[in-house]
Amino acid sequence: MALRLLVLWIWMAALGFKWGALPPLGSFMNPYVGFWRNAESTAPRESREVEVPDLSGTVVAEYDRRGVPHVFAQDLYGMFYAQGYATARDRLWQMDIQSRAGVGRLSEILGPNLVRFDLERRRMGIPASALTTLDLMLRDSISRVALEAYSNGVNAWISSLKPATYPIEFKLLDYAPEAWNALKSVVILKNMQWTLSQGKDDLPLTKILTTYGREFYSRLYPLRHPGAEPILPEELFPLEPKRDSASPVVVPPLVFGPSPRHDTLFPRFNPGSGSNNFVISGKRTRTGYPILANDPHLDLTLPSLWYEIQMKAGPVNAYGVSLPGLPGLVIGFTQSTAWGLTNGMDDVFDWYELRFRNDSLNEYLWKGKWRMAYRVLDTIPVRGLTGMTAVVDTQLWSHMGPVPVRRGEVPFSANTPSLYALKWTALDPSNELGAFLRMLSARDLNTFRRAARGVQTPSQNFVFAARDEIGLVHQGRVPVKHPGQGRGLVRYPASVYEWRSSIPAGLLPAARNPARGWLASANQEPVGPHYPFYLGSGFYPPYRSQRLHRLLVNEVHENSLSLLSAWDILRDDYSRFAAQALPLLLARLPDPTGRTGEDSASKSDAFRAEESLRAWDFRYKAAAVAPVFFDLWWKEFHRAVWADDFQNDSVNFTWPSAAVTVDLLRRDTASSFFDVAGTPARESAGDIARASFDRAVRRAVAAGRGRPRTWGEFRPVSIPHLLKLPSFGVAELRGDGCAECLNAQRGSHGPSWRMAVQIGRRPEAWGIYPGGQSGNPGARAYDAFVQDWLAGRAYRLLFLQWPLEIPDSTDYLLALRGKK
Amino acid sequence: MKPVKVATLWAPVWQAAFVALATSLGGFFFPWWWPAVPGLLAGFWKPGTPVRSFVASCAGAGLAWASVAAYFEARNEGILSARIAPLFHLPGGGALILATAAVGGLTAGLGALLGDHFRRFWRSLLLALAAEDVVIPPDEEELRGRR
Repeated sequence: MALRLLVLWIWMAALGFKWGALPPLGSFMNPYVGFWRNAESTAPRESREVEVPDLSGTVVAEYDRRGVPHVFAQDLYGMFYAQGYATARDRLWQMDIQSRAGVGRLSEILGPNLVRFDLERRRMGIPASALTTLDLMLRDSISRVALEAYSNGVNAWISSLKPATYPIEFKLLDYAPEAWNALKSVVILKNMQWTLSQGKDDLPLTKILTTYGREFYSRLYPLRHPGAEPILPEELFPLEPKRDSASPVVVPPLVFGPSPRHDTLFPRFNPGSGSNNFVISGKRTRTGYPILANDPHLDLTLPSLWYEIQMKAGPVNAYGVSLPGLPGLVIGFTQSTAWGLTNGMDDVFDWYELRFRNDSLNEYLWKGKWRMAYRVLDTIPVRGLTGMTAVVDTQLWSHMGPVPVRRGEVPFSANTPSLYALKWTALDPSNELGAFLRMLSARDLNTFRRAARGVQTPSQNFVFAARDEIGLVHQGRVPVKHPGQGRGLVRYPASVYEWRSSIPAGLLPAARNPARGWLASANQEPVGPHYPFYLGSGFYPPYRSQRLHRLLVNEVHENSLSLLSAWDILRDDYSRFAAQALPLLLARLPDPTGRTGEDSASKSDAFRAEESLRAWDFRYKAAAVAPVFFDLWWKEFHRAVWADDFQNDSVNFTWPSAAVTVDLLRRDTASSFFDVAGTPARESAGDIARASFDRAVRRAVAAGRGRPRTWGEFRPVSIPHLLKLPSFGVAELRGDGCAECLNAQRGSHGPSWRMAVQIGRRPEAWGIYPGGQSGNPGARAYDAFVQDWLAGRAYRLLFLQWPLEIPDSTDYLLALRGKK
Repeated sequence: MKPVKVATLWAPVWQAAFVALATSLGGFFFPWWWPAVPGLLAGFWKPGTPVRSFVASCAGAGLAWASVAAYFEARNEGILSARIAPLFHLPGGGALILATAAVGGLTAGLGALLGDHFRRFWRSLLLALAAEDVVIPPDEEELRGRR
C-alpha cells in the first residue's frame, strides 16, 4: 500500500506545483479551470447587461465588428469607469504584468532570474517617482476622477473573475490578478517615459572623447546631423521679436574654467523609437479639410501596446488609442479636432559625477560643501525565496537623484556609470495624465496648447488640427543647458552644471497655420541653429524627415493631399539614406563594362548583385533582392571604415553615425579614416567599398544557399508575445519598409499605430495597429489586424454620435448598470 | 477454462461509468485532483484486478476530461490549442485533448489502484478479525491465486 500511496502522492505533487517554466500541469490541463477555459467561443457575442459596483446610472459600451468599444456615459466618471472595465476585460494580464514590471516587481511572479531587471527599475528611482507623481495627479480634479473611476472599473471586472476565467497567462505563471489602483496607472505612464528616454550613449561617448581627443570627437560626433532639416526652420519659428520679451531666460554662467568637456550631441544611428506625424491645412488638401496623420514607431508586441476605444460623455466625444492601464487617450481625434505626437528626443537624462569623501559613501562634495548621501532599504520579493533569503537592497540617493550603480557593481547597461547620480525629468512629479485628458475636450489650438503644457517628460512633438487651423508644438520640460551639456557624463565638478531653470513655455518651438500649409516631424532636430537653447543631440538621422518633407511639398504643391495619399505617405518604403549612400558606393566599383566577360560563379554573383543595385529604385519591397545587398554592403563598409579606428576594448564604442560616414564619403574620400590601420598600403574609400562589396555578396549568397534572398526573407517582421512564447506571437512576416523609411518596419519594431484623420463635417479617420483588441491568445481578435497591417491596409474608424447610430456596424452591446 | 461470472465481467464497465459521471459533475466544484476520488471509490467498490480497476477508472476520467476539452476545442475552432500545443511539443489540438485525457485519466487510475489496495487491506483486516464461522466470499483473483 505504501508504494501505491507514494505513487499517487508523487503524481499529485508533480502536477500540483509549478516546475521551472512549466505551469502546474494538473490545474492547467484540467478542462474545468485550466487553459481550455480560455478557448473562447467564435460564435457572435450576445448583448448583455451586467450589474457592477461603484457606479451610478448605466453606461453603454457598443462593440463594433473589430472589437472596439464605443463608450456612452452620462459623466466623466462613468466614461472612465467603462474604459477601465472594457480595457481590463480585454487586456487584464497585460495591465497587471506591465504595472508590476514598471516598479520592479517581476521577480515576485517570474522568480530569481528577474531580480536584476527589478533592481534596475528600483535603483533608477522609478517606484519613488511614481508615488510623488500620483500625489500630484490626485490633487488635480480631472486626473483624480479619471484615476479613481478607471480603477473602480478595472476592479469591477477583476471581482467578476474566478480562477477558471483568469486570462491564460495567469494560469501559465500560476498567480492571481492583483486589485488595480491609481498608482498602477501612474506606473503605466512611467513605463512609457522610460521607453522614450532610452538609447542614450553618454558613457561610450565620454570614453571616446577621453580616449581620442576633442578634435576626433567633434569631427565625427557633431551636435547636428549633416543635412538635418529641422521640424521648425527659422521662417516658421522666428525668435527675434520674442528675445526682448518679458520672460527672462536664465542661462547658467560658467563658473569654472573652459567650456564644458562633455559637450556635443551624439547622433545615434540606431533608429529605435522613431515616429512620423504631419498635418496639412485645409487650404492645401483636395477636399478643403485639414488632414492629420501619425504613426509612432515602437516595439511591436502581442497583446499590442495600444487599445482602441471611443468615449463619449457630455461634451466630450473622442476616439483614439489608449495605453492599457492608463485612462484617456494618447493619440486620437474628436468631432472637430485631431492630435498626434512623436518623441521630442530632447536630452533630459543626465549623469552627474559625485565625489564621495571616502568609501563609506556617506558624504559627497557639492559646491564646495560636503553633503550627506542617504540610503533607502528596499526589499524585493522573489518567488521561491522567503524570509531570510529574500533580496534586500540598499539604495544610495543624493539630492540630485538616485545613484543606481556603485563601484564594483555590474552596471545595468553599457550606459550606467558607477557613482554617478541620475538626473531625469521623469523622476520629478508632473501630470501628463491631466494633460492628455484635457486634450479630449480641446476645441482649438489655444486650448490644446494649454492642455499640452502639462506634458513635461519626455518632450513630444504634438501636431494638432481643428477645422480651420493647424499647429505643432515641441512640448516638454527641457532644462536650460550649454550646447552639448549632458551629452556625455557630467563630470566633476558636476555641480556647475546643475539644472537651474527650464526653457519657458512661450519659447518652446511652436508654429500655427504656416503659409506653406503643412507641419511635420520625424524625431529630427526641432529647430535650426537660430534657436538660442540647446535641446539635445540624440535626434534622428535626417533621412526620414527629408523624405517626409519632400513628399508633403509635392502634395501641397499639387493641392492633391487626400486621406489616401496621406496613408501612402505613412507606408512609404523609399529610403533616402540608400538613395544618398548607394550612388556614392557604386561609383567606387570598377567600370561594369569591364566585367561582362567574366564567367566564374562568384564573379557572376557579384555581377548580378551590382546589376540589381544599379537598377534599384531605393524602395524596400519585401520581394526585392537589392535591399539585401545594400544592407549588407553598407554594414560591411561601415564596419570596415570604423572598426580599425577604435581600440578593441571592453567598451562598445559608438561608431560615428551613417550620416557622418556618408558625409565623409561625399566630401573627403581620401580621408585618413578610410585607411585601414595595420596594413602597409594606404587604402582609400574606393578600396574599402570594393572589398566590403565582395564580402557582402559572399555573405548574401552564402546565407541564401545560392539563391539571393529577398528583403522580406532577410529581415522578417515578427511580433512576439510579452512573455516571448514563440507560439503566442507571430513571426516570419514578409513586409515592406526599413529603419530609414517612413514605413519604419524592422524586425519587431515599427509603426505601432497608423492613423490618418480628415476633419470635415464629420471626422473621417483611418487607422490600424499590428495586433488585435483582445489580449487572449485563444481569441480570433488576438492578432486579427496583423495581416492587414502588414499589407498596409487601413480600417475606417467608426466615430459614433450616439449608441446604435449605425446599426449595421454593431456587434453587440455591453451595458454596465450600477448596483443600487 | 473456468467460466467467468457475468458480474465480474461488467465490473470495469460500471467502474468506468461511475468514474466518468462523478468526474464530470465534481469537476465543476473541486480542484484538478478530483478524479482521484471517484477512482479511489471505484477501486474500493468493485472487486477486480488492480490492472482492471486502473484501466477502467483511467478510461472513465480520461473520457470525461477529453469530452470537456473537445467541447472547448470545437467552439473555439482550435485557435487556442494551436498556440498551446507547441508549448508542450505536441502536434496539435487532438494531441492536446489526449494529453488532457491522460492527466485526468492517470489521476483517477492511480486513485483506483489505491482504492483497490484499500479494499484488500480492508478484507484482510476483516479476515483477521472475523470469527471462524463467518464466510467471506473470495475474490476471483484470490481464487485464481490459490489454484
